[in-house]
Amino acid sequence: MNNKNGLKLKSFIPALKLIILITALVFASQTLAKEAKLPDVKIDFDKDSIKRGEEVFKTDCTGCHGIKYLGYQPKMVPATAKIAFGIEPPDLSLIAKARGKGDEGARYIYELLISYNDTPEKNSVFPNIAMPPVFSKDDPQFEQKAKDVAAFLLYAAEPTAVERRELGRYVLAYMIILTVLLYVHNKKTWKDIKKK
Amino acid sequence: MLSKIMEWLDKRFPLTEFIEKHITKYPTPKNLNYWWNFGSIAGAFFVIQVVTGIFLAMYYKPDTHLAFDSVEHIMRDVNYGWLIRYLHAVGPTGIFFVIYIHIGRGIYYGSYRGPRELIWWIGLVIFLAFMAESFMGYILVWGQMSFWAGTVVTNVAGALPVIGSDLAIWLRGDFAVGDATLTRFFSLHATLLPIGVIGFLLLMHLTALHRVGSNNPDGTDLDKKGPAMVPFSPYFVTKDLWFTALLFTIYFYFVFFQPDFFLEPINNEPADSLKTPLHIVPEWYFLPLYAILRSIPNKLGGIIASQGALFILAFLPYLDRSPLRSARYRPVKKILTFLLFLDYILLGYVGLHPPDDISFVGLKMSDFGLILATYYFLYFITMPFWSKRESTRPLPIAGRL
Repeated sequence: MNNKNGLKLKSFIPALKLIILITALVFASQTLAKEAKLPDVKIDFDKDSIKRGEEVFKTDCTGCHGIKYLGYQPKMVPATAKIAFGIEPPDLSLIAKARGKGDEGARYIYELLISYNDTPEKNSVFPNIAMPPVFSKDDPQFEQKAKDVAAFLLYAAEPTAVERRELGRYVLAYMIILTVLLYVHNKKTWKDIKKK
Repeated sequence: MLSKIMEWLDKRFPLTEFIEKHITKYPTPKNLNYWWNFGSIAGAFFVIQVVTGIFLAMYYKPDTHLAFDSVEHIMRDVNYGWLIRYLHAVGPTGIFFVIYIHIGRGIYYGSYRGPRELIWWIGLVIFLAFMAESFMGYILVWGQMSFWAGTVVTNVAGALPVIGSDLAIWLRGDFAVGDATLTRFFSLHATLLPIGVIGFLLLMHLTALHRVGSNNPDGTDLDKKGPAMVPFSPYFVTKDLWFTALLFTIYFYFVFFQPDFFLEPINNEPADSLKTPLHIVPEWYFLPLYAILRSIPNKLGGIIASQGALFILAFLPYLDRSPLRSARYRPVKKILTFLLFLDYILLGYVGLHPPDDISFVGLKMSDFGLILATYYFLYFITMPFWSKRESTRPLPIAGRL
């Protein structure tokens, strides 16, 4: 405590340690909580992929699925689809966010779309799925199409995400500067007390 | 000019007196460490919830046919609606993180002991009210997890003997969670609980605190006019400000870059009473209590245990028989309390996983949870015995109870 900043720094360390510990615990628990591990596939989420994905969606998905918050209605009446497939095809507005956090949901959709096979289960990611295969495996573009439509569905689930991340950069920069300034200010306030 | 207005006011209303007593001149122990910052941060988070809640209520529609769509309307069409909604949705994580530390600090440094019993009890009721508040708010989204969490929790109430089924119907306003439940939860969530209960009790919490004064890391009684004190302003205003800014930086990181980190993905599917989700998991801050609930094989026993885990905290002022407050000078309390904190975190880990999973210690989750729950209760039940006998280290100044 002869060091004039000694007390403050020392007393701050346990708080910081705890924050780090708890943050680490939360991250660890979230990692442990993940059910199925998806292979790490690289999907581009840039504007072009989203645009291509929207085209894929319009040609290959709108027959049965809608995205009501973007104004896409399914061409087939849901009741008719239910008779054909045994289940009403879900609206896909939020599907990418309902199947995982961050971009997990998009990767899930991609995996699902490319995992059709000839076994009675039809699909290794979603066994006994009602949905027939969307793309023909003979289509040389089918993996790219699956990636693009996954990117589009992630966009559709939260169109404001780009704006959010953009604004977030400024907010964080501002907050970091503000925190440092307030810290220095506080240090000055306590200078005389700590000397005693 | 301003001083004249103040003079006029002060003759009719004790404004200056109030500000001096509760803010500027409130004598605060200068040896407070950073664990004492978390109360005011909890207050700051509460203000954020109230302000964002006011705006959300302008666009939200408490109707089972409209609720989910109205949340998406806020996310997509309302100007900065996504920001207001995410601030409000991530906020509870901040509140509970901060409150847990605030309570842990109270336990460790003996802030619950006389003459601060009333502050402690009011604080516990605020904690309970925040739990009710966050639970009801979660239902309002009307996603799959909203509906099923509401069903599970009201079923828990329904399992109570004699009054159970009537109580469940009274809570839901119907035989099952539905429109009546949504509207009453919206009303309580937006009016009575935040303003009438939490806001009111926060004022009582502070009023009682300012009557007896803050505890300090040594747990000693300090002379309010003595050299151990500094006025709250500027010393603790600047200290609270910078530390709040630090925690809000972390909070904003999650709001802007990982808003779904603490939320269940499945809640992005609209509520469907015919489709039960695979795992029904509560929010992270309920996990330890959920683990206690599940670790008792008997349903009613589980309810009593998980409620008792909260209720037993109220007896803390009388369970502690030591002549000292702070664990800093009580080696036995220090070790047992750190173990209690670890125990509670591990209970959270157990609550996150299905009861039949194998935990990292090799035991089944439900068995591990039972052991952890036992330690939790033993800490409190055995406290009168060890706190009376433990040898204490000498205090820096006189201050034995």
